[in-house]
Amino acid sequence: MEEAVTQLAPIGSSPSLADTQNRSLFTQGLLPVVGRTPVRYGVGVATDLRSRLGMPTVRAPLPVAPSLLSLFADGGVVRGRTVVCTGDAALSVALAVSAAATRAGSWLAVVGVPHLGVGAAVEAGVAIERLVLAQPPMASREWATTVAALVEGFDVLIVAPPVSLTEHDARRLQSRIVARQSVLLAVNVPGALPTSRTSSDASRMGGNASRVFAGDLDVHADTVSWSGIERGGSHITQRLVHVRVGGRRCPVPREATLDLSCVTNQHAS
Amino acid sequence: MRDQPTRVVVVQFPHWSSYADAVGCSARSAFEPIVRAVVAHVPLVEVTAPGIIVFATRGPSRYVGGDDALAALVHAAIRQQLGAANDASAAQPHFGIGIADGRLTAAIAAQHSLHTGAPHVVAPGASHNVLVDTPVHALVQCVEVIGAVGAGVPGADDVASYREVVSLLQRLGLYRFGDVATLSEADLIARLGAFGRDLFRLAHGMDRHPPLAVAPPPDRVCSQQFDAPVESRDAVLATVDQLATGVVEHLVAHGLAVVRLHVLLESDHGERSERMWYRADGWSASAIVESVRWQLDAWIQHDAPTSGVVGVRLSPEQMVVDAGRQASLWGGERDGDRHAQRAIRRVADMHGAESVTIPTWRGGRDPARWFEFVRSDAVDLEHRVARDAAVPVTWRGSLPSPAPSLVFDVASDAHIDVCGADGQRVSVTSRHAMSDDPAVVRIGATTYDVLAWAGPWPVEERWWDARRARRAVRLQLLLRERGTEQTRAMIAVLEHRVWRLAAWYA
Repeated sequence: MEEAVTQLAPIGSSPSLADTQNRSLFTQGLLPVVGRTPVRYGVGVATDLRSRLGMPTVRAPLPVAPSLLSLFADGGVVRGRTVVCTGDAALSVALAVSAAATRAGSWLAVVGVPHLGVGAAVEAGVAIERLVLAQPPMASREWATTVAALVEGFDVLIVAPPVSLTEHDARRLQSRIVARQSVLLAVNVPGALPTSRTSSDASRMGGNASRVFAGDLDVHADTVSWSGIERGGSHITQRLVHVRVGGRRCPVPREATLDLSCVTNQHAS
Repeated sequence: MRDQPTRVVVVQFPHWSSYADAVGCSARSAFEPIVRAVVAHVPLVEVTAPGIIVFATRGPSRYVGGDDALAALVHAAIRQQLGAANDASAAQPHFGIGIADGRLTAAIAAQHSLHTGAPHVVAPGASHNVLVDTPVHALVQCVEVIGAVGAGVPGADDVASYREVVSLLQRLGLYRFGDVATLSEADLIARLGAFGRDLFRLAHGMDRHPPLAVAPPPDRVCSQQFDAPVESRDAVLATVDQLATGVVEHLVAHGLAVVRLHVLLESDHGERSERMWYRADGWSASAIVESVRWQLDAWIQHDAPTSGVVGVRLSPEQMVVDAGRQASLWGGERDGDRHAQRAIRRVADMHGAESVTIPTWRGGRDPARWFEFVRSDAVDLEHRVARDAAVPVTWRGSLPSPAPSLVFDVASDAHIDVCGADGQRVSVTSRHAMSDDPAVVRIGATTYDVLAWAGPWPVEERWWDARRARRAVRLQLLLRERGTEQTRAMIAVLEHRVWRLAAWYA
């Protein structure tokens, strides 16, 4: 299955819309697969099938940086999906994943991360003229309503859900994402602040993205090495992150070890 | 034949936004009472931006008996309003009133009036004499009145682009408008492009935009009558959004941009709110909605209309040939941008403008201060997208790359313990030597072992100013959570003998 998909559109080439539509239908298992080769239908058939199933029309996946391409089978992040990011580098990887899309004209909303280091977003390659931060109220229903309002205008959302968020509201939000064909990156932001005054912050930023959201893709990112820093000398110059993409839309997990600063350099060039 | 510039009054508050900050409300809502004080005497004023009011003298001046009388009247009205608003608690904002032929001369007169404290009236036909001796640098101060240089040109920041033009003129030896006026229009256009023509007109005391010679497209006034009075502000604004998009697209199709727009709102009981809006580089749909929001809010707050809105009318009063904008074709505003701006406005309406913030580069050494989070209603999003991101410059002495993804400001008050192997808190001498190597970090209930560290890096800020001086030490730490294999990197700051969590590499 995996090979067949890459065959249809070699990674790195810009896939035509027809290919994209076909491919995402194959990967979603909506078109019959004979043996290991998907049956090729014309675009008309695919579109017709989608409309008969009452599904939204498929748009091209959101682009990702070249170094992340090997992690995403579909040549990018398929629209309408929820990606749950965990691990200690979750936020950095979420920024890296959304960067190429913002450069291509999509808007990015970062919800519930009041202490976002925008410098890191810039380094990740995010076009900050299309970056907006939102702090919705913490109550589950209001939070979900606000984010749903944002979904109307934003292609990519990085959210750190509050502890109060119920699975019911999370599901409603996800169906909103599917209808609007945006991408939701739910991030476990590793906590947080120690003092009593900021304990609310700590709970707010608790890692419950993986608890409430049923991800189409699960991205787990752990730092494997920090280089440059010594006992008293130099400073961190490089950070290697091991990223594993799995989940129900990616039954065969894909893994890669990335240098996050390299993702940046590709954008700069 | 030269067209006659309109004789206008310019009322200018030069540092309005900082004054509004000091008073503690948004620039627009603070400015509204002043607009109303002026509107009490002059029916139709143009509000270009908070802090600037422009209106034509023709009617009002004849009514009150001359320009001087009009200037004195407006001056007194604003003084009275300012006096009523704050009882000498805050410093009164400075303002200037200038009357002259043409917007530029009136703005220069207003600048002059700032220094004298009394309105400055330039006699009819005397604008040229004023301009001859005015340095071209005045363009920079008058940018808000006469509009940005390159309407819609990507990268044309308002003030910065004027600085460039001014610096170019000065290098060419043209120090005063009189010098510029000696050149031919063709020469100026050859050197400065489309703005050369505007500059030629300005230097000769004319307005930037000549009265429109092209016949305006037929159905340019557009209005919407509601069957039932509409009480919801959002619903009215949604309608305005539709109307505005229609008008702007219609005009773009004819190669025109509207610079002066008249907006009329009408309630079921016949109450009306009308206002003239001016924007030298042409109105876009979302900018129109923003202005109507201002008008509507002010109407609801100050006049309290007794019933819902039944009619909205947008009538473009002055249009210019759209030279450089090409909104829907080339960069500029696209569907995605419009949807995002609409979503931002909606959330700002639901939970207040502070709930949606826009990061704006400010610079500095502290990673939490590299970017400032500005309320969404204080940023012209469209402009921001059109001119691309201000690429941050690396600040000397700031944190080296990679940048931390979670940063905490001084105010976050997140105290932590950084201890040596002996359990004593690590301190740093005035010569930046640490008392002991850091070995253990305690953040709340969690204990981390220090694997490696970098620093201490001294931060000395504003040492020349005793009150604002800041002395601190930064330490980059690589930690392992005790009992697990989890490694994390952070920045700790020691200031006033207290360690504080400053950033996580999340």
